[in-house]
Amino acid sequence: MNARRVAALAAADFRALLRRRWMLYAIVVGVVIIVLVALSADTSIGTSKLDDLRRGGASVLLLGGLAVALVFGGSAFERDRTSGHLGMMAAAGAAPAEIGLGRAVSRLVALILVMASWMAAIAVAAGALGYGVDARFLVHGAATILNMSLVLGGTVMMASLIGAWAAGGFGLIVYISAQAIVNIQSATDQGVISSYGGVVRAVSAVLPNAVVAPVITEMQLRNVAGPAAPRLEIDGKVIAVTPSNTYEVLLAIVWVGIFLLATAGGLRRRQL
Amino acid sequence: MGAGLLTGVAVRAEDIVVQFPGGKTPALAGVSFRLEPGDGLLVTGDEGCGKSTLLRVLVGVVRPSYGSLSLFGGPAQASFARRRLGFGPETRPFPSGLRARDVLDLVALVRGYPGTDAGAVLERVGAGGVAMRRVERLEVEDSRRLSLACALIGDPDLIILDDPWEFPETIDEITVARARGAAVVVASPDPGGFPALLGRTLTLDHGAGVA
Repeated sequence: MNARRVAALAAADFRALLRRRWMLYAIVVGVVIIVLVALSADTSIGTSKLDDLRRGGASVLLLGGLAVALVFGGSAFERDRTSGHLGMMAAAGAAPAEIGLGRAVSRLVALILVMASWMAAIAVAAGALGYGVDARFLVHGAATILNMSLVLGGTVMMASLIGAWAAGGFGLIVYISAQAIVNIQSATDQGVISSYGGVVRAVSAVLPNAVVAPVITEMQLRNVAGPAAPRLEIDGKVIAVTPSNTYEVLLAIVWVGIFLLATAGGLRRRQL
Repeated sequence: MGAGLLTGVAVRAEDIVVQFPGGKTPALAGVSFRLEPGDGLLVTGDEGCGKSTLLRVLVGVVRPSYGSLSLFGGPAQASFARRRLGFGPETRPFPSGLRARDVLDLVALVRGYPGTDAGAVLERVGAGGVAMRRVERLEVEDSRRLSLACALIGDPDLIILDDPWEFPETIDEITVARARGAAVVVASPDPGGFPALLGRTLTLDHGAGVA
């Protein structure tokens, strides 16, 4: 594995992504929706202005981030493999693992760029509404970027092995399972689920957990988080999804790394 | 790169067989040939006869199911062999969004020639005017010139061109390359003036043929 070649391949893919209009569209559409959310929030009264902005912003980060992660991850290889570009790079001396890792890294950087631009728009909107820098929500934004990095990692890994749509399906499963693990772990911790506690803890300690910021837990309990964190009830009991600890954050980062490395390995099995 | 390194056999292919998974018949069924420095070889035949597959074997993208292939006396996959090989692919294998110059810079970096003047290489193949044009907006002719330029980076010791167009620059570059000792392999369904230019012809028929 030659780091210089990986960097060159990643930079070229990132440059190509930057020049494709749909990446710009993703940034612009997200920012426009955030502006509309902010204008709507401005018509609210009292503290709900901030809740409205956070709810709308969290929805853009989650739903928009999912869409971008699935598209960037799913499209990482298929078209350029069919066109012969990946074969051309292999002929030039790039190992399949280098091509895979370069692509995965560039897609990850592109996802972070798009979502960071949305977070910047949310921060500006919070300032314009008179709340200054909403540091608590920025933490949630960073957590969502990490969660979407998991989705992208899972998607791009599978895209190195199978078709784009199936890879996207796998990426979605990664997110759903990561979120489900957090929900079930929280329910177990709060005594709402009493069976299989050991199994739940073991699964939670190994598989990727969705990273949860404190602000979203607090909003979820007040049922103002919207689609990003709908109110969770089991047998009529409200579950407070526990904010992530350092181990869970590190576990998510490790899983992103595992997915990226598996992408490098996956491409070795395909005909370029 | 460099005439001082041009010793021994550039390509030795012995009984190369490629059987793709699920394929009823082999894509290549026992192809053998040998190229010394300065040799030329035209690979021709009907559509689907295995020309591109053979070239993909030579450039290391497809591994032979059977047979052996060595480049410059060593394994075809060895990094020193890859560095001495220039490949001009068929059609338009360039990712949209990149400029012609970006493609050459990328190939140069991957091949290990980071200081390459991409503009100068494009000038050599008559495509100097499209250096800053995005590849998806190139005319087909300019795409073929860009493909030729990709193969020339680093003045390699083995040039492999898949379905090149017969521009004056193509003929000039092949002539110059062979004169300095580089071996040249060209695959084309329409031989045109290539047989005379390259000297030897390998005609594939259902994946089989001997030069």
